[in-house]
Amino acid sequence: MSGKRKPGIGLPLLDDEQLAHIHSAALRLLNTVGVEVGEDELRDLLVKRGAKADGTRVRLSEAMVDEALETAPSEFMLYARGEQPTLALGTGEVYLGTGGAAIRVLDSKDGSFRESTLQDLAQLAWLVDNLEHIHFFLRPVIARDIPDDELDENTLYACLANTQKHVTMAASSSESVDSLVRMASMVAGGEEEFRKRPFLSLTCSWMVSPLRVDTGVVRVLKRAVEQGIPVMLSSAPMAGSTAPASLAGLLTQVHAEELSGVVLSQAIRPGAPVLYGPVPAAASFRTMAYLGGAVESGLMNAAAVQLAHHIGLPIYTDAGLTEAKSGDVQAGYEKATNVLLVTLAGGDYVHHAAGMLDSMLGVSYEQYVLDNDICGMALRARDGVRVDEETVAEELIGKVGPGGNFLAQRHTVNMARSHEYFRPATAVRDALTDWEKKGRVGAEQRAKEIVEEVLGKERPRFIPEDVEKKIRGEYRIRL
Amino acid sequence: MAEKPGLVAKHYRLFTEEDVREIDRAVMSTLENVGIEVNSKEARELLLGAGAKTKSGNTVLVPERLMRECIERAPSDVTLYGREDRHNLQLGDARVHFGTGGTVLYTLDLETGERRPTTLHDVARVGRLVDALDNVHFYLVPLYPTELPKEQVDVNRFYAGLSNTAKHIMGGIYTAEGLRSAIALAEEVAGGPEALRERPIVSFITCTVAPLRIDATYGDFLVEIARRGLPVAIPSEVVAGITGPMTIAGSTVVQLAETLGGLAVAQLANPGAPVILGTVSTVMDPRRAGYLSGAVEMGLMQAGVAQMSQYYDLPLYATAGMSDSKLPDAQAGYEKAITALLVGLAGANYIHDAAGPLEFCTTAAYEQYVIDDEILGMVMRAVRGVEVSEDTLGLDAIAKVGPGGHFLTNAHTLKHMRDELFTPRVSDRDLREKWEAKGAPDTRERARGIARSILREHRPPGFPEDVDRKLRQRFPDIALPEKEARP
Repeated sequence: MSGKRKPGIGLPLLDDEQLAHIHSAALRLLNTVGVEVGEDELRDLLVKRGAKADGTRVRLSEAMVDEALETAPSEFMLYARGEQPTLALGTGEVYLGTGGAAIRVLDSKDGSFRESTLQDLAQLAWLVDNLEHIHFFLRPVIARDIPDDELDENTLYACLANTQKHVTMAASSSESVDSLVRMASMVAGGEEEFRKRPFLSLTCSWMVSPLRVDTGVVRVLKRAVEQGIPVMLSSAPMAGSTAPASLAGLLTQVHAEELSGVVLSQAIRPGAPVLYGPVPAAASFRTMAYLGGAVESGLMNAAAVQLAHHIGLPIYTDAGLTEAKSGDVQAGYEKATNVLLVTLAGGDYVHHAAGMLDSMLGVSYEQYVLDNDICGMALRARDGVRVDEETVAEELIGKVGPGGNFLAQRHTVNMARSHEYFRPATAVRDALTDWEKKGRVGAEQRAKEIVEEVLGKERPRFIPEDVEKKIRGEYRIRL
Repeated sequence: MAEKPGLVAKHYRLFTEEDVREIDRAVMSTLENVGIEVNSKEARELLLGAGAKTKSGNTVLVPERLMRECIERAPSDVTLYGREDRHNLQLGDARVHFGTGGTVLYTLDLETGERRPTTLHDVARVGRLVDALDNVHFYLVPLYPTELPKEQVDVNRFYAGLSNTAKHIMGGIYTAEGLRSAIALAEEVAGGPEALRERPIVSFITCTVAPLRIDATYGDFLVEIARRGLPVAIPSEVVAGITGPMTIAGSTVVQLAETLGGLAVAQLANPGAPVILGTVSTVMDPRRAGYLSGAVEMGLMQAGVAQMSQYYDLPLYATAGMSDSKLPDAQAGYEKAITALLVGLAGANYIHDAAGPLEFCTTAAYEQYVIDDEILGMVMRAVRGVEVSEDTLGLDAIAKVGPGGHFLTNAHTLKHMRDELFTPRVSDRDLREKWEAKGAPDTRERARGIARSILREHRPPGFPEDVDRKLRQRFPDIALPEKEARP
């Protein structure tokens, strides 16, 4: 459904002057305040490129930023396997997908949450493989039943064995990056094949806001960049605690952080594909708790899309969180509001867009199906309205005339089937009497039925048998 | 904090300039070559007297030149007044206001949850509820008192509304006599006919009938209201695929032609009359050839009409925030949020049906008004957007805090936590443990609690006793018990 962007539509919350203002303020921050880089090797690398270091504080010049923006690609592909969509980042297309590192799964039978397992990860991957408007699979849950030192390999395996959509995850160490690349290469049929069409990307939370580079994670980032894997430069400042409480203030800070990440990645390997990756969050005025479902989160993410595009980079952004604990009306409006804002803004790679509940802590199977509809509606809105001779239908209006009826017209039949119309899977559109006759089945129940149907379907083999055997020989696969 | 009503939506536009010109061309050509059927003799004669031509029967061709003259004559801004000035609504440009709407016949009872016919009692109680909801900016009387005979409905709906909220009251009209009574009632409250014209605390709706028709009764009402100089909205209700082309662009053309036709009648009846273009249009569900109220395409259609009304520099009565769901569930949440956000971001001026309705706008629920107030608050916050200034950029605060620090105790934080963040009333933001300790209430349950406490505690500004006594003497049909009129 994600059609080509039409010129003139979009959601420009910031005008050109405001964008330039924030960009130059961020440059000033990098030049005067700078960033903390405790990792010696990378700090030396930055200094070699012209940065000024004062202890562990590193200050970056505008020229360094410009140079990095020259080499960072503004368009690149995140590949999928089989018939699943390739994500053409930086082209104006919007891709929505899962996200999170949730630790709990909602049990829809009694509304309680239990710990997430590797089996959940596998099932969710397969579920998402079947949901049309969810375009990629960022591992949404942590397999709590797997020991830490086996987690990465099992996560990747569970994903690749159950979905052919593009997979994103995090790696816990630079050795793990190598190990993941090796497994992905086996699935791809060779390292060269994998590097040509990487269907795996890594999200790296390399930045600890405000403005401090995480010494451990940045080594993972370095290895991923060296390996040629597309990397999401994830930085998640929270308004009022790890960033200013004003939306523009948080955006300025995170823009500076992201620019430093671009400089760093391009210093490691010029031309490395990276996604500008702010995950800005609002926080409760009273408790300072994280607020994923706040409308201000949607506003900051939508504005961040413009900042990324202002400097010519694709964005890893987020929308679709909620503080609701079940798939109720609050989950519906909080998710819809922010997913629509960020989709209209043109976010390239929008994660957290499906499945999550209870902020970042939980997921529910049914929620993926409900959110698939929200994503579909948002993408439909993004496609806008086609205005041409066929759609304006002036002749038809004259033919039908005052008091006439359009129902039996061929134009109506044709257009009803066209992509003018989004067809939701969960929304109940029956008249009241039919709804009652069908046992008052609501959207949540419909979602439940779809989950059961998908999970009951026979799964095709996404990893050939011989490759699977090889992987199981080399890794401690628990699935 | 709640956003001020009337924020200007600046950011989102659906159509390119070329699209706008193409739609305008098709609208003018439809009026001039296809025409509209005008079954009110008075309205028809006004058009014919100004240079329109009869095509056949009652169908009248409106030349482009005449149409543009009428657009020119109509005011770009129409102000609707509340009984208190803070509730005034200045419609025009891309200023956004949200409110209630619909003529629903059923209510989900606040106590039992059962669907039952609406009564005058509900009209008053929902008015009182809306009076306390900051993001519901006007009270378009949304309920029909099913226990009253038709000839008593109009005066009672307006009375129940006016006596239970100080917000602006708009309403549909069911009989000609009822229209006159409602106007007389409002004049009494406002302090006379002149006072009402100067500060209209009530306004009216006269629908067109798609495709391209103005019926006899509504045409007559339109002429009468325009002559009295009171504000009137002229909504067109096209259902794409049934009473308009299946395409959004095509149905946009039909509804604009209709509502502009109505505007022409009003301007010929009384040049400069305060009219408001209107749309209740939507798309059909191809599966059952029925009306849809929560479809994303409806939001797009309404957003497009908002952009066109800004092009004509005329105020717009639009529709969003409804749902096809029968209950306040996830579907109600996402359908309402998506359409309300699209139409709010597009800058429609008077967005009705945005609070309270469910089930294709045939049922209303008390708790839904509370839930929708929250959704509309979020939408208004989004309409405000992101403010960029030296202060909001916060460079000094960032430099002072420095890498690795925190902003919790910074003065900049304290200031902006208040003015940047929307404060929810019904949304749950507790940690799971705390929420469970409260008994794990879902949103509908929490909203019911809020509705009950508002109805128990909120006292809207009523009329002075002597005014009320006079009203009851003059309009013996008033059926609302005194204690519900002055709670």
